Amino acid sequence: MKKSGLTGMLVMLVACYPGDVTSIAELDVVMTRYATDYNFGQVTRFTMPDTIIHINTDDPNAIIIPRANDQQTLDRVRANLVAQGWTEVDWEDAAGGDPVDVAILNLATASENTQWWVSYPPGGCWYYPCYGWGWYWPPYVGTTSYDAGTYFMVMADANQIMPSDSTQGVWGGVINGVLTSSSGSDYQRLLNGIDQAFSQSPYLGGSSSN
Amino acid sequence: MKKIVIVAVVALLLGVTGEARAQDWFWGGAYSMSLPTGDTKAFNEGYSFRGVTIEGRKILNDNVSFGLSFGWQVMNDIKTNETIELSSGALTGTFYTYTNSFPIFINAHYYLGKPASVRPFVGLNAGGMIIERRAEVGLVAFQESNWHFGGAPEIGVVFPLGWYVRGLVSARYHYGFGAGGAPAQSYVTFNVGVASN
Repeated sequence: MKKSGLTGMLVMLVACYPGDVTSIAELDVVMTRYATDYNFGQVTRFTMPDTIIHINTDDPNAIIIPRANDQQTLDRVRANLVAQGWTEVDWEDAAGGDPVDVAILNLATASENTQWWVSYPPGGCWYYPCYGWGWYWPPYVGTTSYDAGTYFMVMADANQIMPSDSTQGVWGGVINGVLTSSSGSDYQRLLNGIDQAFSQSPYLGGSSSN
Repeated sequence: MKKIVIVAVVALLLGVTGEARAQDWFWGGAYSMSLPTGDTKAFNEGYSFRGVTIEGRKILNDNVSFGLSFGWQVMNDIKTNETIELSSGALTGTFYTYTNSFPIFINAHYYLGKPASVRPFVGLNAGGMIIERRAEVGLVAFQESNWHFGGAPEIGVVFPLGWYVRGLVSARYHYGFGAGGAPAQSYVTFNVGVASN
C-alpha cells in the first residue's frame, strides 16, 4: 500500500466502498502455490495418511472442527490426485519402503475472530476504512465476530523428506473461509474448494508446463 | 451517497449567493455518472451512478472562461469466482474492487452563441486525479492511492433556466497517466447539473 500524507488523508476521509457481502461463500478463497523448479511430470505414485491433522488447537480462539465428514473430504482429495493419472500407495506400505514420488498431508484449523467498532451518528464513523467526523455523543460501540477456517493440502517430494527434519513442499492448496460450522453448506463449499485447487493447478498432471 | 448529496447542495448554495451575483464568475455543481475505460474498466467494469463535480469559472469575455474544477467519482465491481494467476500459483475468490477518483483541475472553456442563450461549449481540464484503487478478496484487502497527472477534454452545453440559474450538461474524458506502479486510469463522466452567474 502506497500512501503519501495528503493523498492518504483525503482518501481516508471520504472514500466510498459500496456493496456488501451477501453470502458467506463470497469470502471463500482458494490459493495454490507450487515449486517452479519441480518436475511434476515425473510423478506417478503418491501416498496420503488417512487423517486430517488439526493444527493450532492450543489457540484460545480455536474452534473444534467436527470430524464427521473427514473421510469424504479425504476421498475427494484422493479422487483429484488419482485424476492426475497418479497411483496411490498405502501409507503403511510407503513407510515400509514401497517407493512413492510425493506425499500429501491434509490439515485444518478454525478460529473465532472478533472486530470492534465505534460509530458517531448520524453519518460519521470511526473505524478503518471509514474514518469520518461526528459530534453526537455518546457513540455507538459494537463488536462483530465471525468464525473462519482454513483447509490445507501440502504436497512434498517423498524422496526429500528427512525424519525429524522439515522439508519444503512442492505444491500447496489452501481453502480459506470454510469450516464455519458442520453444516452441509460448509461441507459442499469445502469440496468445491478442493476441486478448484486442483482445477487451477493443471501442471500437476503434466497438461501444462511449469 | 449522503455525502455526495450534501456536497451538491453546498455547491448549489454557493452558486446562487454572494459573489456569483457579480456575473463575472460561473459556479456550478453537477451529478456525475461514470463509464470506465481502459485499465480502469479492467479493474471495475460497468456504469457508475456515484459521483459529483463542482466548479467555478472566471468569465473573461463573452466566449472564454478560466476556472477550477473538483470532483469525486466512485466505480466498483464484483467478480465472482475469479481466478488470477500468481508468479507461482493461482488465487480464486470473489473480488470486490473499488476505484475512488478525486479529479483536481484548472480549466479553460470556449462558448458558442450569445450570453443568456443556449450555449454549447468545449473545454480542456488539466491537473490530476487522486485515485485510490482497492480490491478485497476473502478477508484480505489490497489498496493503493496515487496522484495521477492528467487532463480531461470536455464538451457540453449551458442553457438558461431563469434568474441567474442555468442548466449544465457535459461529458468529460478523464485520463491520468500511470503513477506509483498503477497503470494509466481513464473514464468518461456524464454530468447533469446547474450553474449560476
